[in-house]
Formats: sequence, structure tokens, C-alpha cells
Amino acid sequence: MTAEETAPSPTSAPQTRSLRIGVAGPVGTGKSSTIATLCRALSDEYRIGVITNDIYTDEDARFLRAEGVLPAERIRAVETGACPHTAIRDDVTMNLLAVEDMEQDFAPLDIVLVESGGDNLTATFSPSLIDAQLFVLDVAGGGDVARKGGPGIGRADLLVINKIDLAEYVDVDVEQMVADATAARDGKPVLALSRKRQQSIDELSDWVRQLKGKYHSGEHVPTDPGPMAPHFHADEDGGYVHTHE
Amino acid sequence: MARGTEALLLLSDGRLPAGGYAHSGGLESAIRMGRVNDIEDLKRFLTGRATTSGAVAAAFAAAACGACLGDRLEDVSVLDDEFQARTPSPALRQVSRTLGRQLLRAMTAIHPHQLQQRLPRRLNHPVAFGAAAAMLDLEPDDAARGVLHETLMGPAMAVVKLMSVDPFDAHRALAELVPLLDTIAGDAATYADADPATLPAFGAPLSDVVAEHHAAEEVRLFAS
Amino acid sequence: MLRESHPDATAGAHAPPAAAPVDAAAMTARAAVSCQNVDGAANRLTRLRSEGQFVLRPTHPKGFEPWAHGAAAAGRVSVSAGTAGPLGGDRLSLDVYVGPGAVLVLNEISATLALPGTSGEQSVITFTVRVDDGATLIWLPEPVIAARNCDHRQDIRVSLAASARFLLREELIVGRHNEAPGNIAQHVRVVRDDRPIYDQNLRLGDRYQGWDSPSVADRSKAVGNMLIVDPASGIGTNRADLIEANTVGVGLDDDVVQASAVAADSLALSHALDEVLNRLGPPWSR
Repeated sequence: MTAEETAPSPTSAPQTRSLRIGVAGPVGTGKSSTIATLCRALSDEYRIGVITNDIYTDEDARFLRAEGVLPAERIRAVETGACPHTAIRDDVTMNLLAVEDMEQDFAPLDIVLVESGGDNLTATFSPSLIDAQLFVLDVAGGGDVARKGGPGIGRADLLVINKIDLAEYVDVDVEQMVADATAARDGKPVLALSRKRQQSIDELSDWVRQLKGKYHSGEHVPTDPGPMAPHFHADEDGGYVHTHE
Repeated sequence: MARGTEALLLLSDGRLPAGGYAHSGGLESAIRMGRVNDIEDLKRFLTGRATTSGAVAAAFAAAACGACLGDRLEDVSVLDDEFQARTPSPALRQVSRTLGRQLLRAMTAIHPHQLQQRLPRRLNHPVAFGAAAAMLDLEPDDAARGVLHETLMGPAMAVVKLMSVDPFDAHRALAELVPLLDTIAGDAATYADADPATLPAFGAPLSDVVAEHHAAEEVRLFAS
Repeated sequence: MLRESHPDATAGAHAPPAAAPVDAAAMTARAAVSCQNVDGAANRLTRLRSEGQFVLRPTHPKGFEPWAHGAAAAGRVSVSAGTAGPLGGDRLSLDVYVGPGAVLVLNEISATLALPGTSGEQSVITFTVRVDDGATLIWLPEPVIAARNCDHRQDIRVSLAASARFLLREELIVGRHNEAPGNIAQHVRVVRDDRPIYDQNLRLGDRYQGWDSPSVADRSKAVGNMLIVDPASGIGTNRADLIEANTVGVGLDDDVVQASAVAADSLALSHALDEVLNRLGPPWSR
């Protein structure tokens, strides 16, 4: 890997620090396609790099390379060994080195996007790895998911409700879902997204631009969505909520 | 070992955030190739890993720790070259360097130390482990014990994700190996000040073979 | 525990140097071969000293020779066994020197069969090899077979000049047909331009705890290695040849290839190593 050959001493910090944005969310909600959308919309404005985390393969990295949204070498995969949530929260070293290498090898980069391996509703990024994070849900997961809360839904910097073009096929009221989510988030931003609806893509791009501005002005302070919140386990009787105290 | 016991536990704990959890030490591939099917196979797997790769890693960790404590940093580079000569598999070389780098990166945050600026840029994992042990004021014997422990804990923890086994059985296999591990670590510690060229070079041909096969797999749970 | 049952099972590098045997029946022998370009004559065998186990003879090509095939002028030496064994307690050595620009092909007439001696001592063969600048050594020993209860060690120390070319093929078989495995430790250390490029001590047999591990040899009877150094050839660049389930040929450096093979028997092992050479293409294969 070129990163390893050219990397500086592991003890030295990279010269150029990018805005690091994490993209988390359950399996299949469209994290990779959201990243592809962001790259497509913003790659003329910003120099972007992407780190993917996959459990079994480097499928996500290959998908993004195939989409042709960035030069292939600016998309790298980290193998997380069966524990995608560990790699973004408990033990971020692999991802941190990948981000630092990327920043070093392609300096100056404006933004590095880190895609978590698809996990569950409770996995969020540690602020030691990223500066801000998106949490991606989709309408196909059901209109009630947003009400269930959890650290990602409740406190990620941006909650994306994806695939809204599918809402009518899965009987989900997007407005209601956005309203539920907004309520669950104490007013923090919620964005209804479809890669087929340009206006929603523009809104997502604007959010990133504003974040970038706030990051450079020092106005943006990375916050931790927090540990696993009381969360929901489905069972035959409808499920229960418990905590990890 | 009265002094530094807590530091040794800190460094050797699989929960140290240095990325070790992503590796199965060749076990995933050995299972896929049908060489490990039950707990007895796992025990043989661990035993061979201890007497070959583990014994080599332990000696190199002890020697690297000794070199750092004695401020013989030029020996650290020599040790790294010697370790590489004992690691013929390119896939395993890559894994070792990655784990070494991750460990040193984690140490810069966990325990800043002047050695970090003076060490070579890239170090194989056992050599990095020995250096990290020295940063924590541990002795070569501790470094040997710690790295040997890690060498076995990786596959012993990975097995429950890879095979249908009782996690108690996996730990029983480890417990039964304790006397062997004590002997290996004790031998390894005697290399603390040895000429790097004379360190053990015990080969594990199937580890080399399966590591290359694993690296070429399209789908895998663990990075190695 | 380990130490009590197997005194040096883990301490190979600390193993005692090859001292004179204590068993009166045991043998000490020192043989040597040198091949040099001298007085305008290429590849002269300037030294050929046979002793004991090692009987050295100038010879002709024996079948296909990697790299040297068709090189009529190469020096060629065959080693044949002058005695049975090695037997436990034997201390044998062979020194090989290939001078600047010379080419030597070194092979063997038959397999080496390591046998236990009456003393229970280890038998030790030490090979000391130097290949000078621009020189080539193609070393094709026959398999070493560790008979039941034997305790044999081979130390192979190779020093290569920066522009030396080298091939070593080693095939170890533990136990004859239908025989329990004997014990063998083969330690190969190759230094090139004073830097170590390959150092492996392969230990097989029940004396060595863990040898039957799925991570080591998994009770396979045949284990082989091959090392090929071909300066400026690019043969090792990005090489990772997966040959069957139990054999790989990999690049250690741009001009260094190493193969590891584990097989059920000698024939399968030999085929596996042949296939590693085939992947390299001519002149390493036919």
C-alpha cells in the first residue's frame, strides 16, 4: 500500500488537517450512495477523500470507485474484522491512520468522508475519529424508526432520511417521519433525501458547505452523540426498551 | 515482575485500541481450508503458533525492549530487518507492519514518550511491542510475555466468531497452554541483549501458505 | 514443562554448536567444493574435497536444471553418500564457494536418510556457502528423509554478494513410507550483501511440540522450501502465486522469490515446487 511506503513517522501528525465527516447508519440505508451523491455534488468545489469500512469485503470501496465520483486512489477500504462498530468507536486506530494517511498522501484535502460498516441503530462515531457525523436511515426501514431514538438518530450532526422516492411504495409518510425525527432530535437538522431529487441533494450539499465554514471559523465543536442510549429490541410481543447502564 | 505489572496488563489487553481485534492470526483461513474443525484442532493450532510465530515474536519483543532500555536504537532497526527475514510471507509482513504502526500510533496518544520521535519510521509488530513496553518502563521479560499473549489471544477470541465452539472451551485451551507459554516467554527473555542475528527463526510453513490464500480471498471476516 | 520433556524444543538458536561427537562410532567429516574462473578458464573446480558422508564428483547435467539448463560451461558437482546416514552423533560439514562470475550446479545422487545413532545424540550437518559477485549457484539437493527416532539438524548458512544468483531447493520428508516421523530441524539463513534476507528454522517431528499444528505442518510428511535470488530480474515483483491449497510462491523482494509447500508425500511436494518454478517461466522453468 502506498500509504505505508510514504507515510511519515507514525508519531508525527499530518501537516494538513481536513474536515472529517463520518457517515453511519444501519445496513442497506444508503450510506455508500449518500457518499457517492456528496462526492458527485461537491468534488468540483472540494478535494475529497473517502475511507470505507467493510466487514466481509471491500465492496463499498469498489462500488464508489465504480461510480467514478472520485479518483480511485482517493477511495480506500479499511477491514474491520467482524466489528464495524468497534472500528468507529472503541478502537478507532485503524481508521484514524487511514484518514491521516489519506490527508498526507493527497494533501491538501478539504474533506475526508468515513463510511462506517453497516451495523445497527446504536453505532456512532467517536469524536476522536471524526469532526461531524451523518446518520442515515431510509423510509423502507419503516416510518416509526425515527421515533425509536438512539444516539445516532437523536444526536448525530445531521439525520438523513434516505430513499424518499420510495415512500409511496412502502406506505411511509415522509413529512410525518421527518417531524417525528425532528422531535426526537430537539430540533437538530433532519434532511429528507433522494438521489433522484436534485433539490434534496442541494440541501445536503449546503449543509456540508455550512459545516465546512463553521469548522474553519471554529464555530463547530465536534460532539459525541453519546454512548448506547436506551434502545429498542424487537421481539414477538412488540419489543422492549432497555439501557446499557 | 512486581514492578510494572499494571502497565503490562494495559499493554497486553486485547482491548487496547490498536486495531488488533481485526485479525484472527491465520485461524479464519485455517478453518476455511478445513484444517481446524473442532476444539482439539484449535488447541493444536494455538500450540504450534506459540512454539513458532509466538516464540519468535516474544524473542524479538524482548530484544527490542532491551535495545530501547539500553538506548541502542540502532539495534531496533537491525532487529526489524532480522524479523522481516523471518517472515517470508508478504501478507504477514504487511499485517505485522500495520499492527506495529497502529500500536505506535496508539501509544503516541496513550503514553507520549521521547522514544516515539527517535524510533525508525516503520516497525514490525513484535519490535514495536518491545519498544512500547520500554516506553512503559517494562522489562524485556514483560515484553516477551505480552506479545506472546497477544499472539494467542487473537485467534482464541476470533474462533467464537468463526466456528461453532463453546467460548469456555476456547479459554480452556488457552489455560492448558499456560505452562508452555511461561516456558516460551522465559526462553525468549534470554534474548534481551543477544546479537539480533541469533534470535529464533522458527518457521511455520502453513501460516505462510494460508496467509497468502487469505489475502487473496474476496470475502473474509478478519483482515488476517 | 516443555523444557523438561524437550530440552531445546524452543531454543533452536541457542542450540549447542557442532562439537566433536562423543560417540566413538560417530563420524566427523569436512568436505568442500570451490568453483572459480581462473587463468581464463571458466567454472574450474578449483577445490573438490570429499570426506565421509560427502563424496563429490564432477558430473554432467542430470535432467532439467533451472537457469543453468544448456549452459554447457557451468561447473557441475554431484554429491553422493559415502556412508549410511548421517547417524546420530555425526558432525558433517560441506563448504561451498563460487568465485566471482563462476557458475556452479550442485546436485545429489540420492536422497539423504537421517538415522538414529546408538548414542541418542543429534546428527548435525553444517553447510557454509559463499557466492561471490556475478556468480551463480544452483543447488538442487535431493530430499532429506528423517527416519523414525532420528534426531537430525541441518544448518545452512549462505552468504551472497549483492550481484550473486542463487537457487536452493529443500525437501524434507519425516519418516519413510509407512513409518513414524523422525525429527529434523533445518535452519537456513541467507545473507545478501551483509543483510539478512531469509532466516527460517523449520522443525518437524514429535520432538518439537507444535509441529503437527494446523499453523505449522499439520502432520504432513513432506515440507519444502525454495529460495531464488536473481538480481535485477524482477521475478519477485508483486508475486503471490497460489499453487494448490498448500503451496505458495511469493516475492520477498523485486528479485527474490520464496516458496513454501506442505504435501502428503515426496512426489506431491516435488510437483508443487516444480510448479512454483513453472510460474517463474524460463530460464527457471523449461
